[in-house]
Amino acid sequence: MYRYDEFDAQVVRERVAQFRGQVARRLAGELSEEEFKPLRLMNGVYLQLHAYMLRVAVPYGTLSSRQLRKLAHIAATYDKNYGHFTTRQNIQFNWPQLRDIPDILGELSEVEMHAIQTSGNCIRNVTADPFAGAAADEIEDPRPICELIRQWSTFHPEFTFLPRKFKIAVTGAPKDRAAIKVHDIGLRMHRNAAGAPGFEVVVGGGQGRTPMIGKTIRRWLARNEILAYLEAIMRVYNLHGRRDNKYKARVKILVHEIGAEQFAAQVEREYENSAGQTRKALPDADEIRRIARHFAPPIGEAEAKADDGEGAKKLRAARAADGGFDLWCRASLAAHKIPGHAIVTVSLKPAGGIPGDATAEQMRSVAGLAERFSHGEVRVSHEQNLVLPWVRAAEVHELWRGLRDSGLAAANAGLAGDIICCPGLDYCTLATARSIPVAQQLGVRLGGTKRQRDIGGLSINISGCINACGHHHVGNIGILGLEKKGREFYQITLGGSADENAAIGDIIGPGFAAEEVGDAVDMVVGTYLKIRRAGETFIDAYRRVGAEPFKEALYAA
Amino acid sequence: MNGWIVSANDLVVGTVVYYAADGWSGDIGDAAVAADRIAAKKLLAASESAVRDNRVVEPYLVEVELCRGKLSPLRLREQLRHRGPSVAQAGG
Repeated sequence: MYRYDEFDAQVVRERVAQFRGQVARRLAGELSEEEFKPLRLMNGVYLQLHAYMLRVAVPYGTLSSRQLRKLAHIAATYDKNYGHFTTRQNIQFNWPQLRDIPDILGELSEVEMHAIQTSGNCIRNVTADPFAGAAADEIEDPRPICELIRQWSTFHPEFTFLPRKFKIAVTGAPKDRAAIKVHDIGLRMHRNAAGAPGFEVVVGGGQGRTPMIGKTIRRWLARNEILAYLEAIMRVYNLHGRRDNKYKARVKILVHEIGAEQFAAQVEREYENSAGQTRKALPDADEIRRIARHFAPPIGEAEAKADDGEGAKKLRAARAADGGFDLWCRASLAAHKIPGHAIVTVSLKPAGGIPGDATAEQMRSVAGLAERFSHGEVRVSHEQNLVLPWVRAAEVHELWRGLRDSGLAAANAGLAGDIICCPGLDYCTLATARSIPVAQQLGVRLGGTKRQRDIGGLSINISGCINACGHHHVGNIGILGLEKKGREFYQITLGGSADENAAIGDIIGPGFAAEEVGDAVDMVVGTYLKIRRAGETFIDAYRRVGAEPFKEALYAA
Repeated sequence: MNGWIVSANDLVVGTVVYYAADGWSGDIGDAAVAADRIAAKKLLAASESAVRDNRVVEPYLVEVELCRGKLSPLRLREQLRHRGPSVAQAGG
């Protein structure tokens, strides 16, 4: 994992001291709310419905067990004993007091964490494949590039006051687990004809009130050109992005209005013009190698080569002997690049629970299990789950028992019960309807693991407003909560997808009252089960037959 | 009977508070009620001195219904602010 150097540590320490002073001046009346608001937002502090909310950055979703323990400590000491993992791989605390926040940030700085770039019109925390470094299908670990982008973008004076917030996602694998096509910039690693790894550059994706799939503006870009090229994109956006209307200020609108080709041409021109100045300022190869060394797999080559298949054999035997464990394995294990190892997803979606929430005890428990079984490393996924990336196959059964003891063994990762859900109107000041109760209701209605296995891979995403923090546009089934004449109602979209075949879902028809949503989703799932062909997932079936059979089932009566 | 009250968040703690005859209260039952829009505007103006005194953040008017002696906000958003999240909290 990346460790702060002296500059990182100093920057974060100074930032905490600066914010401590700003809070003191606010509480003493020397700063008005109007003056203080942009300052607190730059430090991740929002004012929500019931209280302040602190959003803490988890760069590219990577956490150490020490950091997770600190988050647990903060939840227990300064909040109501829980935290909420978000669709941007961050964590939010819903109840901190303003007077405590400088102390919280001070505690975070002790473990190399902060809340910088979790709000405001800047380049936000960079997100990545939660399986980065470990996935069997990966070309290269994308996190050294993410870290480079983090260092470059942190307090970048040119990009601190952009027209609007800006989100970058990176994947090093062909299977897109980072939803790169619905980000302002998505970077997908692949090899060129000569076999050299580089990045496809996708720009102008996003969700919110104007959902769009990003457009490719560069098929392949060498890794050492990334920062200069990103700088060119940011300059074109900073110059031409609209500042007169916040709803039209994201880069996706600019790309859409001038066209991807024209946008690409401007970026290339800027890239060529600025190349002389900027490329010189880029970190040299030694610095990139220095960063990359932090992300070396914690499993040595000798251990990897020594795998004799006994671990996998032991895992197979445990699965054969225990049906419950086997069901969990089917949902939770992913193929690892190192023989004899597995990537384990820890679902934060117990039936009837709040998606993404974890208690302080659960965080401590995962931290302890990560120390025992995953070289002390944890990931946060944009699906609001946790991931243990370095688990020996031989130890998966023991890990599962530990998770089960902490109420963390829901066997639904990637299945219908693995619902993505924003905080909605229960917490969020922007929301128009509640989303958590809908997720809870569906989590129970969708039934146990066996039924969910029968349904197969299905993403259900719920947002409590058009800002789409719950990623409803890219859910196979998307649910958007709105308010109409003082009552909550829910619009359903079908056919969305956040992977390498990303698609925005189609609005299926008029919305449903809160009490009707469960039946509507049952009807959609039931229709799929009737029409599917052997081995066909929900999204494949939808792409084959279109919306009509679902519309008919939902509205014909 | 419908009316208006003023709500805000406490500056230091962030919790929901209501403007009352003798200051700010966490209990909606203590809220001062304006019976019409003109009175509501005056109530909001009066509450804004607390902003200057650094006690609350962003006060605004909330429409309420007075039923059997109890004040109840009309909009769901305000009902949730008054009662708290409608879902049990993970750590609770």
